[in-house]
Amino acid sequence: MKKFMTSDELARDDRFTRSSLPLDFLMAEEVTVEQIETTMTTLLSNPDMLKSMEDEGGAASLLSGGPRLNPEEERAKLTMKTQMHGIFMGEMQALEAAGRSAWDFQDNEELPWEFQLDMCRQTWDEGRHVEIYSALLDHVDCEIGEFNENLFLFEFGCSDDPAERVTGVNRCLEGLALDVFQQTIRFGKAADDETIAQSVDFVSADEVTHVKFGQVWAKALTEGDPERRQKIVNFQRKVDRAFSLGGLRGGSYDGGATEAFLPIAREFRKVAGFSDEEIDEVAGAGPKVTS
Amino acid sequence: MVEQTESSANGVGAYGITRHAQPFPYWDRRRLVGEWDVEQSVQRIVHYKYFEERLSAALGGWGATMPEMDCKNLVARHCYEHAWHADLWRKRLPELREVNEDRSEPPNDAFVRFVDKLTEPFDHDLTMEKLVGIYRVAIPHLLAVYTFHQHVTSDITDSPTVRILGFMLQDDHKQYVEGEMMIQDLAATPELRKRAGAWQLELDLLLGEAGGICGPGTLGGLPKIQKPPHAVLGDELRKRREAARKVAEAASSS
Repeated sequence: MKKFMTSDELARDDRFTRSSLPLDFLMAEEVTVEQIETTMTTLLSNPDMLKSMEDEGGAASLLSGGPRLNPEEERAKLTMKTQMHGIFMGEMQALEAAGRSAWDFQDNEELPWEFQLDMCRQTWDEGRHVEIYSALLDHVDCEIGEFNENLFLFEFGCSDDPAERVTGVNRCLEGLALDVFQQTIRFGKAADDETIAQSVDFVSADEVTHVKFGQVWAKALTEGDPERRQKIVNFQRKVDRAFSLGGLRGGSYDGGATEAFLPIAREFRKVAGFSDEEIDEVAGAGPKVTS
Repeated sequence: MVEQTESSANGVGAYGITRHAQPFPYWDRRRLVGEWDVEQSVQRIVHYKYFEERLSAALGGWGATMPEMDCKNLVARHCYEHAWHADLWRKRLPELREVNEDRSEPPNDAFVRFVDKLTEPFDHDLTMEKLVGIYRVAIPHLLAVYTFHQHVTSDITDSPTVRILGFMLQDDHKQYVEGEMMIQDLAATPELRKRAGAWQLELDLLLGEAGGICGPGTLGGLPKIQKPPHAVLGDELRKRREAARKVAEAASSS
Protein backbone atom coordinates (compact mmCIF):
# COMPACT_ATOMS: atom_id res chain seq x y z
CA MET A 1 0.00 0.00 0.00
CA LYS A 2 1.43 3.38 -0.91
CA LYS A 3 2.38 5.86 1.77
CA PHE A 4 1.50 9.56 2.04
CA MET A 5 -1.89 9.95 0.40
CA THR A 6 -3.15 13.26 -0.85
CA SER A 7 -6.51 14.57 0.26
CA ASP A 8 -8.11 13.98 -3.14
CA GLU A 9 -7.32 10.26 -2.82
CA LEU A 10 -9.56 9.84 0.24
CA ALA A 11 -12.24 7.24 -0.50
CA ARG A 12 -15.94 8.12 -0.24
CA ASP A 13 -19.17 6.54 -1.37
CA ASP A 14 -21.33 8.29 -3.96
CA ARG A 15 -23.48 10.20 -1.48
CA PHE A 16 -20.70 12.68 -0.91
CA THR A 17 -19.91 15.80 -2.91
CA ARG A 18 -16.73 17.76 -2.44
CA SER A 19 -16.43 21.49 -2.55
CA SER A 20 -13.17 22.96 -3.78
CA LEU A 21 -10.42 23.81 -1.36
CA PRO A 22 -10.15 27.58 -0.79
CA LEU A 23 -6.39 27.30 -0.34
CA ASP A 24 -5.49 30.89 -1.19
CA PHE A 25 -8.13 32.23 1.17
CA LEU A 26 -7.10 29.96 4.04
CA MET A 27 -3.41 30.80 3.59
CA ALA A 28 -3.84 34.55 3.22
CA GLU A 29 -2.44 36.95 5.83
CA GLU A 30 -5.09 39.49 4.94
CA VAL A 31 -8.64 38.86 3.69
CA THR A 32 -11.58 41.03 2.78
CA VAL A 33 -15.16 40.65 3.96
CA GLU A 34 -16.08 40.00 0.36
CA GLN A 35 -13.62 37.09 0.22
CA ILE A 36 -15.07 35.67 3.40
CA GLU A 37 -18.53 35.98 1.86
CA THR A 38 -17.44 34.19 -1.29
CA THR A 39 -15.64 31.43 0.58
CA MET A 40 -18.46 30.78 3.01
CA THR A 41 -20.86 30.63 0.08
CA THR A 42 -18.65 28.01 -1.56
CA LEU A 43 -18.20 26.03 1.63
CA LEU A 44 -21.82 26.03 2.72
CA SER A 45 -23.28 25.37 -0.74
CA ASN A 46 -26.59 24.23 0.74
CA PRO A 47 -29.28 26.62 -0.56
CA ASP A 48 -31.22 26.73 2.71
CA MET A 49 -28.07 27.53 4.67
CA LEU A 50 -27.06 30.21 2.21
CA LYS A 51 -30.45 31.85 2.51
CA SER A 52 -30.21 31.71 6.28
CA MET A 53 -26.81 33.40 6.19
CA GLU A 54 -28.19 36.10 3.93
CA ASP A 55 -31.14 36.66 6.25
CA GLU A 56 -28.72 37.15 9.11
CA GLY A 57 -26.81 39.84 7.22
CA GLY A 58 -24.27 37.83 5.23
CA ALA A 59 -20.68 36.98 6.10
CA ALA A 60 -20.13 40.34 7.75
CA SER A 61 -22.51 39.23 10.46
CA LEU A 62 -20.34 36.19 11.11
CA LEU A 63 -17.36 38.40 11.82
CA SER A 64 -19.17 40.38 14.46
CA GLY A 65 -20.48 37.13 15.87
CA GLY A 66 -24.05 38.16 16.25
CA PRO A 67 -26.21 36.80 19.02
CA ARG A 68 -25.41 33.29 20.27
CA LEU A 69 -27.51 30.69 18.48
CA ASN A 70 -30.70 30.26 20.42
CA PRO A 71 -32.23 26.75 20.20
CA GLU A 72 -35.66 28.30 19.83
CA GLU A 73 -34.71 30.34 16.77
CA GLU A 74 -36.00 29.39 13.35
CA ARG A 75 -32.45 28.88 12.01
CA ALA A 76 -31.40 26.65 14.94
CA LYS A 77 -32.18 23.31 13.33
CA LEU A 78 -30.59 24.12 10.00
CA THR A 79 -27.52 25.56 11.68
CA MET A 80 -27.15 22.48 13.86
CA LYS A 81 -27.57 20.17 10.85
CA THR A 82 -24.84 22.06 9.01
CA GLN A 83 -22.54 21.98 11.97
CA MET A 84 -23.18 18.31 12.78
CA HIS A 85 -22.54 17.31 9.18
CA GLY A 86 -19.35 19.35 9.06
CA ILE A 87 -18.09 17.69 12.24
CA PHE A 88 -19.13 14.28 10.99
CA MET A 89 -16.94 14.80 7.93
CA GLY A 90 -14.18 16.21 10.14
CA GLU A 91 -14.27 13.10 12.32
CA MET A 92 -14.01 10.92 9.24
CA GLN A 93 -10.98 12.86 8.03
CA ALA A 94 -9.48 12.61 11.54
CA LEU A 95 -9.99 8.82 11.45
CA GLU A 96 -8.24 8.73 8.11
CA ALA A 97 -5.44 11.06 9.19
CA ALA A 98 -4.68 9.12 12.39
CA GLY A 99 -4.84 5.79 10.55
CA ARG A 100 -2.51 7.06 7.86
CA SER A 101 -0.07 8.20 10.57
CA ALA A 102 0.01 4.60 11.83
CA TRP A 103 0.78 3.36 8.31
CA ASP A 104 2.96 6.16 6.94
CA PHE A 105 5.41 6.22 9.84
CA GLN A 106 5.43 2.59 10.95
CA ASP A 107 9.09 2.03 10.02
CA ASN A 108 10.32 5.51 10.94
CA GLU A 109 13.26 4.91 13.26
CA GLU A 110 12.80 8.31 14.87
CA LEU A 111 9.47 7.20 16.30
CA PRO A 112 9.11 4.83 19.24
CA TRP A 113 6.38 2.22 19.43
CA GLU A 114 4.26 4.42 21.68
CA PHE A 115 3.73 6.78 18.75
CA GLN A 116 2.09 4.07 16.68
CA LEU A 117 0.07 2.90 19.66
CA ASP A 118 -1.26 6.43 20.18
CA MET A 119 -2.11 6.82 16.50
CA CYS A 120 -3.97 3.48 16.44
CA ARG A 121 -5.82 4.43 19.59
CA GLN A 122 -6.84 7.70 17.98
CA THR A 123 -7.99 5.85 14.86
CA TRP A 124 -10.37 3.78 16.97
CA ASP A 125 -11.57 6.86 18.87
CA GLU A 126 -12.26 8.79 15.66
CA GLY A 127 -14.13 5.81 14.26
CA ARG A 128 -16.32 5.89 17.36
CA HIS A 129 -16.85 9.61 16.84
CA VAL A 130 -17.98 8.95 13.29
CA GLU A 131 -20.54 6.50 14.69
CA ILE A 132 -21.65 9.02 17.33
CA TYR A 133 -22.04 11.83 14.82
CA SER A 134 -23.91 9.65 12.37
CA ALA A 135 -26.38 9.00 15.20
CA LEU A 136 -26.50 12.73 15.97
CA LEU A 137 -27.15 13.50 12.29
CA ASP A 138 -30.13 11.21 12.51
CA HIS A 139 -31.10 12.95 15.77
CA VAL A 140 -31.34 16.32 13.98
CA ASP A 141 -32.97 14.83 10.84
CA CYS A 142 -29.94 15.24 8.64
CA GLU A 143 -28.95 12.79 5.91
CA ILE A 144 -25.37 11.73 5.29
CA GLY A 145 -24.22 13.66 2.21
CA GLU A 146 -26.81 16.42 2.63
CA PHE A 147 -24.03 19.00 2.76
CA ASN A 148 -20.79 19.23 0.81
CA GLU A 149 -17.53 17.97 2.21
CA ASN A 150 -14.43 20.09 2.31
CA LEU A 151 -11.09 18.37 2.69
CA PHE A 152 -9.11 21.23 4.18
CA LEU A 153 -8.70 19.52 7.56
CA PHE A 154 -6.88 16.53 6.04
CA GLU A 155 -5.13 18.72 3.49
CA PHE A 156 -3.63 21.05 6.06
CA GLY A 157 -3.15 18.54 8.83
CA CYS A 158 -1.35 15.79 6.96
CA SER A 159 2.28 16.62 6.39
CA ASP A 160 4.90 14.01 5.46
CA ASP A 161 6.95 15.08 8.49
CA PRO A 162 5.72 13.25 11.62
CA ALA A 163 6.32 16.27 13.88
CA GLU A 164 4.27 18.46 11.53
CA ARG A 165 1.65 15.71 11.20
CA VAL A 166 0.98 15.53 14.93
CA THR A 167 1.03 19.30 15.15
CA GLY A 168 -1.42 19.67 12.26
CA VAL A 169 -3.75 16.81 13.13
CA ASN A 170 -3.55 16.58 16.91
CA ARG A 171 -2.79 20.09 18.03
CA CYS A 172 -4.52 22.18 15.38
CA LEU A 173 -7.33 20.00 14.01
CA GLU A 174 -8.27 18.43 17.33
CA GLY A 175 -7.86 21.81 19.01
CA LEU A 176 -10.38 23.25 16.57
CA ALA A 177 -12.65 20.35 17.46
CA LEU A 178 -12.45 21.33 21.14
CA ASP A 179 -13.61 24.85 20.25
CA VAL A 180 -16.53 23.56 18.20
CA PHE A 181 -17.55 20.93 20.76
CA GLN A 182 -17.68 23.37 23.62
CA GLN A 183 -20.10 25.42 21.55
CA THR A 184 -22.19 22.36 20.73
CA ILE A 185 -22.34 21.19 24.35
CA ARG A 186 -23.58 24.61 25.41
CA PHE A 187 -26.17 24.57 22.65
CA GLY A 188 -27.33 21.07 23.73
CA LYS A 189 -27.73 22.21 27.32
CA ALA A 190 -29.57 25.35 26.26
CA ALA A 191 -31.93 23.19 24.23
CA ASP A 192 -32.42 20.72 27.12
CA ASP A 193 -31.19 18.12 24.65
CA GLU A 194 -29.29 15.53 26.69
CA THR A 195 -28.52 13.47 23.59
CA ILE A 196 -26.47 16.26 22.06
CA ALA A 197 -24.91 17.55 25.30
CA GLN A 198 -23.88 14.19 26.70
CA SER A 199 -22.66 12.61 23.45
CA VAL A 200 -20.52 15.57 22.49
CA ASP A 201 -19.22 15.86 26.04
CA PHE A 202 -17.74 12.35 25.74
CA VAL A 203 -16.33 13.08 22.29
CA SER A 204 -14.78 16.23 23.67
CA ALA A 205 -13.07 14.27 26.47
CA ASP A 206 -11.50 12.01 23.83
CA GLU A 207 -10.30 15.00 21.86
CA VAL A 208 -8.48 16.40 24.88
CA THR A 209 -6.50 13.15 24.92
CA HIS A 210 -5.72 13.52 21.21
CA VAL A 211 -4.53 17.09 21.66
CA LYS A 212 -2.29 15.81 24.46
CA PHE A 213 -0.84 13.26 22.02
CA GLY A 214 0.04 16.20 19.78
CA GLN A 215 1.59 18.20 22.60
CA VAL A 216 3.70 15.27 23.78
CA TRP A 217 4.92 14.10 20.37
CA ALA A 218 5.56 17.53 18.89
CA LYS A 219 7.72 18.29 21.90
CA ALA A 220 9.49 14.92 21.90
CA LEU A 221 10.30 15.08 18.19
CA THR A 222 11.81 18.55 18.38
CA GLU A 223 13.64 18.18 21.70
CA GLY A 224 17.11 19.69 21.48
CA ASP A 225 16.60 20.81 17.88
CA PRO A 226 15.66 24.52 17.89
CA GLU A 227 15.70 24.71 14.10
CA ARG A 228 13.15 21.96 13.73
CA ARG A 229 11.18 23.37 16.63
CA GLN A 230 10.91 26.70 14.81
CA LYS A 231 9.85 24.90 11.64
CA ILE A 232 7.05 23.21 13.57
CA VAL A 233 5.96 26.48 15.16
CA ASN A 234 5.77 28.08 11.69
CA PHE A 235 3.76 25.14 10.39
CA GLN A 236 1.46 25.37 13.38
CA ARG A 237 0.83 29.06 12.77
CA LYS A 238 0.02 28.35 9.14
CA VAL A 239 -2.48 25.63 10.04
CA ASP A 240 -4.03 27.61 12.87
CA ARG A 241 -4.51 30.51 10.48
CA ALA A 242 -6.22 28.21 7.99
CA PHE A 243 -8.41 26.75 10.73
CA SER A 244 -9.47 30.23 11.85
CA LEU A 245 -11.65 30.21 8.71
CA GLY A 246 -10.67 33.71 7.72
CA GLY A 247 -10.60 35.02 11.27
CA LEU A 248 -14.00 33.77 12.35
CA ARG A 249 -12.53 31.95 15.32
CA GLY A 250 -11.50 33.91 18.38
CA GLY A 251 -12.58 35.27 21.73
CA SER A 252 -13.45 32.97 24.56
CA TYR A 253 -16.43 31.90 26.59
CA ASP A 254 -14.26 31.97 29.64
CA GLY A 255 -13.09 35.50 28.94
CA GLY A 256 -16.63 36.73 28.57
CA ALA A 257 -16.38 37.21 24.80
CA THR A 258 -19.72 35.63 24.17
CA GLU A 259 -20.28 37.20 20.80
CA ALA A 260 -17.60 35.46 18.73
CA PHE A 261 -18.66 33.20 15.86
CA LEU A 262 -16.45 30.42 17.19
CA PRO A 263 -14.95 31.14 20.62
CA ILE A 264 -11.81 29.36 21.81
CA ALA A 265 -12.39 26.58 24.34
CA ARG A 266 -9.82 28.00 26.71
CA GLU A 267 -10.39 25.62 29.64
CA PHE A 268 -10.53 22.48 27.49
CA ARG A 269 -7.29 23.54 25.81
CA LYS A 270 -5.62 24.11 29.17
CA VAL A 271 -6.54 20.59 30.27
CA ALA A 272 -4.97 19.39 27.03
CA GLY A 273 -1.71 21.11 27.91
CA PHE A 274 -1.95 24.53 26.22
CA SER A 275 -0.46 27.49 28.10
CA ASP A 276 -2.27 30.84 28.22
CA GLU A 277 0.27 32.24 25.75
CA GLU A 278 -0.32 29.40 23.31
CA ILE A 279 -4.08 29.87 23.54
CA ASP A 280 -3.71 33.58 22.90
CA GLU A 281 -1.61 32.77 19.86
CA VAL A 282 -4.32 30.45 18.50
CA ALA A 283 -6.95 33.10 19.14
CA GLY A 284 -4.91 35.64 17.21
CA ALA A 285 -3.88 33.31 14.41
CA GLY A 286 -6.46 34.54 11.93
CA PRO A 287 -5.71 36.87 9.05
CA LYS A 288 -6.22 40.60 9.16
CA VAL A 289 -9.73 41.37 7.92
CA THR A 290 -10.31 44.47 5.82
CA SER A 291 -13.57 45.78 4.50
CA MET B 1 -21.72 -25.17 61.62
CA VAL B 2 -21.22 -27.60 58.73
CA GLU B 3 -21.06 -31.17 59.93
CA GLN B 4 -17.93 -32.82 58.57
CA THR B 5 -17.99 -36.36 57.23
CA GLU B 6 -15.29 -38.80 58.23
CA SER B 7 -13.62 -38.54 54.81
CA SER B 8 -13.50 -34.74 54.87
CA ALA B 9 -12.45 -34.26 58.49
CA ASN B 10 -8.80 -34.19 57.47
CA GLY B 11 -7.84 -33.38 53.88
CA VAL B 12 -8.93 -31.21 50.99
CA GLY B 13 -12.61 -31.42 51.89
CA ALA B 14 -12.12 -30.08 55.39
CA TYR B 15 -12.54 -26.59 56.80
CA GLY B 16 -10.09 -24.44 58.73
CA ILE B 17 -6.82 -25.80 60.11
CA THR B 18 -7.67 -29.36 59.24
CA ARG B 19 -7.88 -28.58 55.52
CA HIS B 20 -4.59 -29.94 54.22
CA ALA B 21 -4.91 -28.52 50.75
CA GLN B 22 -2.37 -27.83 48.01
CA PRO B 23 -2.00 -24.14 47.07
CA PHE B 24 -4.65 -24.63 44.41
CA PRO B 25 -8.06 -26.30 44.49
CA TYR B 26 -8.09 -30.05 43.96
CA TRP B 27 -10.12 -29.70 40.79
CA ASP B 28 -7.35 -27.61 39.21
CA ARG B 29 -5.80 -29.73 36.47
CA ARG B 30 -3.33 -27.24 34.96
CA ARG B 31 -0.02 -28.56 33.70
CA LEU B 32 3.36 -27.64 35.15
CA VAL B 33 5.48 -28.45 32.12
CA GLY B 34 4.72 -26.75 28.83
CA GLU B 35 5.93 -26.97 25.28
CA TRP B 36 8.59 -24.25 25.33
CA ASP B 37 11.25 -22.89 27.63
CA VAL B 38 11.62 -19.15 28.28
CA GLU B 39 13.88 -18.44 25.29
CA GLN B 40 11.68 -20.37 22.91
CA SER B 41 8.65 -18.48 24.20
CA VAL B 42 10.40 -15.15 23.58
CA GLN B 43 11.25 -16.21 20.06
CA ARG B 44 7.60 -16.91 19.28
CA ILE B 45 6.43 -13.69 20.88
CA VAL B 46 8.73 -11.46 18.81
CA HIS B 47 7.18 -13.04 15.70
CA TYR B 48 3.65 -12.47 17.03
CA LYS B 49 4.56 -8.88 17.82
CA TYR B 50 5.94 -8.28 14.34
CA PHE B 51 2.69 -9.44 12.75
CA GLU B 52 0.40 -7.56 15.15
CA GLU B 53 2.31 -4.33 14.49
CA ARG B 54 2.02 -4.79 10.73
CA LEU B 55 -1.68 -5.60 10.96
CA SER B 56 -2.46 -2.53 13.07
CA ALA B 57 -0.60 -0.21 10.70
CA ALA B 58 -2.27 -1.69 7.61
CA LEU B 59 -5.75 -1.48 9.12
CA GLY B 60 -5.09 2.16 10.03
CA GLY B 61 -3.81 2.95 6.56
CA TRP B 62 -6.70 1.23 4.81
CA GLY B 63 -9.38 3.31 6.51
CA ALA B 64 -8.73 6.24 4.18
CA THR B 65 -8.80 4.00 1.10
CA MET B 66 -12.22 2.37 1.60
CA PRO B 67 -15.26 4.19 0.22
CA GLU B 68 -17.65 1.96 2.20
CA MET B 69 -18.21 3.73 5.52
CA ASP B 70 -19.04 0.57 7.44
CA CYS B 71 -15.76 -1.01 6.32
CA LYS B 72 -13.84 2.18 7.04
CA ASN B 73 -15.09 2.13 10.62
CA LEU B 74 -14.60 -1.62 11.06
CA VAL B 75 -10.90 -1.44 10.25
CA ALA B 76 -10.47 1.70 12.38
CA ARG B 77 -11.72 -0.21 15.42
CA HIS B 78 -9.67 -3.31 14.73
CA CYS B 79 -6.59 -1.18 14.05
CA TYR B 80 -6.34 -0.36 17.73
CA GLU B 81 -7.10 -3.88 18.91
CA HIS B 82 -4.04 -5.21 17.08
CA ALA B 83 -1.90 -2.33 18.31
CA TRP B 84 -3.04 -3.20 21.82
CA HIS B 85 -2.15 -6.85 21.24
CA ALA B 86 1.32 -5.81 20.05
CA ASP B 87 1.65 -3.69 23.16
CA LEU B 88 0.67 -6.60 25.41
CA TRP B 89 3.43 -8.66 23.77
CA ARG B 90 5.82 -5.76 24.23
CA LYS B 91 5.08 -5.71 27.94
CA ARG B 92 5.43 -9.48 28.21
CA LEU B 93 8.93 -9.61 26.69
CA PRO B 94 10.84 -8.10 29.65
CA GLU B 95 8.96 -10.45 31.96
CA LEU B 96 10.62 -13.27 30.01
CA ARG B 97 14.16 -11.85 30.42
CA GLU B 98 14.16 -10.18 26.98
CA VAL B 99 15.92 -6.86 27.58
CA ASN B 100 14.80 -5.32 24.29
CA GLU B 101 11.05 -4.88 24.56
CA ASP B 102 11.00 -3.42 21.04
CA ARG B 103 12.19 -6.69 19.49
CA SER B 104 9.92 -7.49 16.60
CA GLU B 105 11.04 -9.97 13.96
CA PRO B 106 9.59 -11.95 11.09
CA PRO B 107 10.42 -15.66 11.17
CA ASN B 108 11.83 -15.67 7.63
CA ASP B 109 11.86 -13.82 4.30
CA ALA B 110 8.87 -15.78 3.05
CA PHE B 111 6.74 -14.37 5.86
CA VAL B 112 7.84 -10.85 4.94
CA ARG B 113 6.70 -11.55 1.36
CA PHE B 114 3.37 -12.74 2.73
CA VAL B 115 2.92 -9.58 4.81
CA ASP B 116 3.95 -7.35 1.89
CA LYS B 117 1.37 -9.02 -0.34
CA LEU B 118 -1.30 -8.90 2.37
CA THR B 119 -0.83 -5.15 2.86
CA GLU B 120 -0.33 -4.31 -0.82
CA PRO B 121 -3.89 -3.36 -1.95
CA PHE B 122 -4.42 0.39 -2.08
CA ASP B 123 -7.00 1.32 -4.71
CA HIS B 124 -10.54 2.22 -3.67
CA ASP B 125 -12.11 -0.74 -5.46
CA LEU B 126 -9.96 -3.32 -3.62
CA THR B 127 -11.94 -3.38 -0.38
CA MET B 128 -12.73 -7.06 -0.95
CA GLU B 129 -9.04 -7.98 -1.14
CA LYS B 130 -8.23 -5.92 1.95
CA LEU B 131 -10.96 -7.57 4.00
CA VAL B 132 -10.23 -11.08 2.74
CA GLY B 133 -6.55 -10.72 3.58
CA ILE B 134 -7.32 -9.74 7.13
CA TYR B 135 -10.45 -11.69 8.01
CA ARG B 136 -10.04 -14.86 5.97
CA VAL B 137 -6.28 -15.32 6.13
CA ALA B 138 -4.58 -13.32 8.89
CA ILE B 139 -7.20 -13.61 11.62
CA PRO B 140 -7.92 -17.35 11.16
CA HIS B 141 -4.17 -17.94 11.28
CA LEU B 142 -3.87 -15.97 14.50
CA LEU B 143 -6.83 -17.82 15.98
CA ALA B 144 -5.20 -21.15 15.19
CA VAL B 145 -1.75 -20.17 16.42
CA TYR B 146 -2.85 -18.41 19.59
CA THR B 147 -5.22 -21.23 20.52
CA PHE B 148 -2.41 -23.73 19.91
CA HIS B 149 -0.07 -21.68 22.09
CA GLN B 150 -2.64 -21.43 24.84
CA HIS B 151 -3.19 -25.19 24.77
CA VAL B 152 0.41 -26.34 24.84
CA THR B 153 2.28 -23.84 26.99
CA SER B 154 2.38 -24.40 30.74
CA ASP B 155 -0.70 -22.80 32.20
CA ILE B 156 1.07 -22.56 35.56
CA THR B 157 4.58 -21.28 34.82
CA ASP B 158 3.45 -19.31 31.73
CA SER B 159 0.03 -18.25 32.99
CA PRO B 160 0.60 -14.52 32.20
CA THR B 161 0.94 -15.48 28.53
CA VAL B 162 -2.14 -17.69 28.73
CA ARG B 163 -4.10 -14.78 30.17
CA ILE B 164 -2.87 -12.38 27.47
CA LEU B 165 -3.80 -14.89 24.79
CA GLY B 166 -7.30 -15.06 26.24
CA PHE B 167 -7.82 -11.33 25.61
CA MET B 168 -6.44 -11.58 22.10
CA LEU B 169 -8.48 -14.63 21.20
CA GLN B 170 -11.62 -12.92 22.42
CA ASP B 171 -10.91 -9.95 20.13
CA ASP B 172 -9.89 -12.15 17.20
CA HIS B 173 -12.98 -14.37 17.44
CA LYS B 174 -15.15 -11.26 17.29
CA GLN B 175 -13.12 -9.81 14.42
CA TYR B 176 -13.35 -13.06 12.50
CA VAL B 177 -17.15 -13.06 12.70
CA GLU B 178 -17.52 -9.34 12.00
CA GLY B 179 -15.13 -9.53 9.06
CA GLU B 180 -16.80 -12.57 7.55
CA MET B 181 -20.22 -10.97 7.87
CA MET B 182 -18.91 -7.91 6.04
CA ILE B 183 -17.28 -9.98 3.29
CA GLN B 184 -20.42 -12.01 2.70
CA ASP B 185 -22.51 -8.87 2.61
CA LEU B 186 -20.16 -7.18 0.15
CA ALA B 187 -19.66 -10.19 -2.12
CA ALA B 188 -22.93 -9.68 -3.93
CA THR B 189 -21.83 -10.99 -7.33
CA PRO B 190 -20.13 -14.18 -8.54
CA GLU B 191 -17.27 -12.01 -9.76
CA LEU B 192 -16.66 -10.59 -6.29
CA ARG B 193 -16.84 -14.07 -4.76
CA LYS B 194 -14.25 -15.29 -7.26
CA ARG B 195 -12.01 -12.36 -6.46
CA ALA B 196 -12.33 -13.09 -2.76
CA GLY B 197 -11.48 -16.76 -3.25
CA ALA B 198 -8.58 -16.10 -5.61
CA TRP B 199 -6.97 -13.55 -3.30
CA GLN B 200 -7.45 -15.79 -0.27
CA LEU B 201 -5.73 -18.65 -2.10
CA GLU B 202 -2.85 -16.47 -3.25
CA LEU B 203 -2.19 -15.25 0.28
CA ASP B 204 -2.69 -18.65 1.82
CA LEU B 205 -0.08 -20.15 -0.47
CA LEU B 206 2.40 -17.45 0.56
CA LEU B 207 1.61 -18.08 4.21
CA GLY B 208 2.16 -21.78 3.60
CA GLU B 209 5.56 -21.06 2.04
CA ALA B 210 6.53 -19.18 5.19
CA GLY B 211 5.32 -21.99 7.41
CA GLY B 212 3.21 -19.58 9.44
CA ILE B 213 3.78 -16.71 11.81
CA CYS B 214 6.69 -18.54 13.51
CA GLY B 215 7.98 -20.27 10.39
CA PRO B 216 7.97 -24.05 9.97
CA GLY B 217 6.60 -25.71 13.08
CA THR B 218 4.30 -22.82 13.91
CA LEU B 219 1.57 -25.28 14.78
CA GLY B 220 3.82 -28.29 15.35
CA GLY B 221 4.82 -29.50 18.76
CA LEU B 222 7.85 -30.86 20.50
CA PRO B 223 7.25 -34.30 22.07
CA LYS B 224 6.88 -32.95 25.56
CA ILE B 225 3.24 -33.76 26.14
CA GLN B 226 2.92 -35.45 29.52
CA LYS B 227 1.37 -38.88 29.15
CA PRO B 228 0.46 -41.43 31.85
CA PRO B 229 2.70 -44.52 32.06
CA HIS B 230 1.79 -47.51 29.93
CA ALA B 231 -0.53 -50.14 31.43
CA VAL B 232 1.04 -52.84 33.71
CA LEU B 233 -1.03 -56.02 33.53
CA GLY B 234 -0.84 -59.79 34.02
CA ASP B 235 2.30 -61.43 35.34
CA GLU B 236 4.17 -58.15 35.68
CA LEU B 237 1.37 -56.63 37.74
CA ARG B 238 1.15 -59.71 40.01
CA LYS B 239 4.94 -59.63 40.67
CA ARG B 240 4.89 -55.91 41.40
CA ARG B 241 2.08 -56.33 43.94
CA GLU B 242 3.80 -59.28 45.64
CA ALA B 243 6.97 -57.23 46.00
CA ALA B 244 5.04 -54.33 47.46
CA ARG B 245 3.25 -56.63 49.92
CA LYS B 246 6.61 -58.05 51.14
CA VAL B 247 7.97 -54.55 51.70
CA ALA B 248 4.88 -53.61 53.72
CA GLU B 249 5.06 -56.83 55.81
CA ALA B 250 8.74 -56.24 56.58
CA ALA B 251 8.03 -52.70 57.65
CA SER B 252 5.21 -53.70 60.01
CA SER B 253 7.20 -56.57 61.65
CA SER B 254 10.17 -54.31 62.36
